[in-house]
This record gives sequence, structure tokens and C-alpha cells, in this order.
Amino acid sequence: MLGINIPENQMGNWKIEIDNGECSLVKVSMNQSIMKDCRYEYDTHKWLWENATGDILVAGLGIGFLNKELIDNHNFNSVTIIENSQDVIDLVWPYCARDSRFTLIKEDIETWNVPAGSHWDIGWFDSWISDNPLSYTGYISAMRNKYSSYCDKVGAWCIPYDISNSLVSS
Amino acid sequence: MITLYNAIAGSCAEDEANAGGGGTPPAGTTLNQLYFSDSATNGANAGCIISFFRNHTINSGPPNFTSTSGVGTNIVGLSAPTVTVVNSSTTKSAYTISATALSNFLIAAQQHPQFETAYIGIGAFLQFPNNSNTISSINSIRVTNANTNSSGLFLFNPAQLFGQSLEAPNFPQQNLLAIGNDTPRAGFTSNWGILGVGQITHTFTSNSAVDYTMLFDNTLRGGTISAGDVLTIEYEAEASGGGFIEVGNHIIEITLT
Repeated sequence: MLGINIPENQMGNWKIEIDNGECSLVKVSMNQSIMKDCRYEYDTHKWLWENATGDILVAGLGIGFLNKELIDNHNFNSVTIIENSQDVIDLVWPYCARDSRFTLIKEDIETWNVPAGSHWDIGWFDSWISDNPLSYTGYISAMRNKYSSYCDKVGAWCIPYDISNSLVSS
Repeated sequence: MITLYNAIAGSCAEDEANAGGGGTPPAGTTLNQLYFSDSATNGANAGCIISFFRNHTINSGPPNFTSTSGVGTNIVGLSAPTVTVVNSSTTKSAYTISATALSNFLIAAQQHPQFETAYIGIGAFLQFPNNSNTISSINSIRVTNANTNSSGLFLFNPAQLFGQSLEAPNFPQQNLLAIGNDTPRAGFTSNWGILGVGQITHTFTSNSAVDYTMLFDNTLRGGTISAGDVLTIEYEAEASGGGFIEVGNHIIEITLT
């Protein structure tokens, strides 16, 4: 869809494969694709495309899907990507679109000890996959609760709203 | 004979128990609180009117940028509800649909040129048994739960999760039956069921928190949509009248087959 071009390979529990011409990241133990270069992926990032500006925190590298779109069509200062799998980093980072504005940190977004004084204009949370012990709702709530104080706006995969300015805490 | 509620003179019959479905309430359970109904007739059956559809937003312009709802498509294959009484203040409308039909519905939404979202909303009339259906005020209508045990589906209700309410000018009122399948977005005008009728706006200040529930396909994050998966949405309403304050709950349960 965006023309993500990463060579097919497998490292540990992760595999890049081309499925009907679309680059796909597969978690081997699940035997499931967890991110694919397809239109549904683009559409479920809609909130990000509409709000991407300034300094951006991103949870999850995936296939580097948002890198290419941000570089091609958006104005921003920096993108900080948090990815907890060294295998995914080794599979994807050398080949995905990026420039000097992109920084990758190997950490788990759910447990990362955020450096004091950190601030981003927006946070984008897309590191949940279905084998997470948290439900997706639980993940979103956890990310909002943890990162709202660091990010002016908080968005998540599929969700069409800024979830930072809500009344309910869970 | 099954007593649904016993506070309305001359009104206690099993034909009031099974709106639209034919379910059987647990023996001995008596509804004695406000309840959701699919009819505006005083003392009518428990239940609600469900609107399960996919739709999108049309953005026009320039020079004048406006947004409008697209044309909704109702889901096909959803069963008639089986309405039961869960406890004295809670009723449930249970539906079934095949996992294949739901998956195909979500795929069709994704493949629509404007990318559609799947929504679930309800219309209802609030019956008020202990004061012969005379409601002086609706204190609140809320979505209290929207969840699923399916790894391949994600239910998102902004009201339940974030307290973000989407309400029409006449919200809340007793008769909130009218519901269409327009995209529920602030600024749009339609019949919105329990959100009311007219142009809807976002609010964070209401005692209520009510919105349509969105249904997303999580299979792209490794999940599966399978027979036996259950979608659950729960509503609560509170009303006052004649010295009574009554609270009633209604559960929408959709089981995949």
C-alpha cells in the first residue's frame, strides 16, 4: 500500500514475509501477521496522520509503516520509536524509511522508565498484539494513564480520538 | 405465568416478558425498576431496538469544507433477540450471528472506498413501573460496559472508556426509540436512539456518558474471530417520578456462532 520494502527473513520469533505483494511482519509463535502494508493499516492510523506534528513518541516499530508516510507527507521535528524486540529491530530498522529525525530505543513501552523531563507533542501507541495479557482496552487505558503527562495528545491504533483528555481513569 | 414486574395495576403477564424474542426470565424474578423497552406503550415489553451498521463520513470542499454521514449498511444475519430478565433491575437482549457473517461485514467496511466503521447503537423507551410510567426527569443514561472476549475484535465506546458523551439537544428523555444508521459524529443530525434526536455534540460535563459502540477488526494484530466469541454492551438509566428514583440496566449480548 505504501510500498514498504523489507527483505524476507526470519530472526527468532519474528519473520518478514511478502504476502500478495504486501510486506508483512509475522509472529512465528502465533503463526499470525501482526502488521501488514495494507490499506486497513493506513486507515486505522488515521488519527496519527491528522495529528502528526512536532515531537512524536511511537510505541512499536512494526514494519516501519508510519516512517514512510510521515517523511513523505508530514511536517514534524522528531520521532522516538520504542520497540522491545531486538529481532524486530534487526529485521526492520536497517531497511525501513528513516532520516536523522528518527530515534529508536529498545525498551518495552509498558515498563519503560521514561526519562525525567521528557515531553512529546503526541504519543502514538500501537504495540499491542493479541497475545498481550492486557485486553486492547486495558492496554489503551494503561498507555493513557502512563503517558498523558508526557504527551499533549495521545492516540492509539484504530481509535479516532485523542484519548488523553478524558474523565475516566481505569 | 411469569411476572416481569408487579407495580403496574393490571399488568403482569408473560407476554410482556419476551419482547421480540421469546426468552424466559429466571423463575421468580420480578422487575421492579425502570426498564428498557422497544415500545412506547405503557407497560410494554422489555427490550430495545438495535442498530448494527457500518458507515463512513463524507468530506466535501473546497471552498466550503463540510462533513456529512455516508449511507449506512445494516448488518445481515443478526438474529431476532431473546429477551430475558437477569435480575430485578436488569434485562438482556441476546442475539446471535455467525462469525463468518460478522467477519465479512467488517471486511466489507474496510474495503469500502471511504473506509467504514462498524457501529452498534440502541433505541429504547424507558418504562417506569413504580410510578405508572410517569417520569418527571431522566437523571442519567450511561454506557457502563462494552467488551468482548474475542481476540479478533475490539469494542470501543468513548463514553464507557473515556466519559466522552455524544448527545442530541433532547437528550435525555423517556422516548428514545427513533434510531437510524447514520455515522454518529458531532455536528451530524439524525435519529440517534438513546443519544436523542437532532444534531449531536460532544460533551464531558453531563452526568450521563453515552455513545454508540464501535467495533474494530483486531485480526491484523494477530487475533481471530471465532464461534463462541461474545460481544457485551451494557446500559444503565436512572429516572425520577412521583417520589421514586428508579435505576434499570439493559444488556446487549451478541454471541458468534
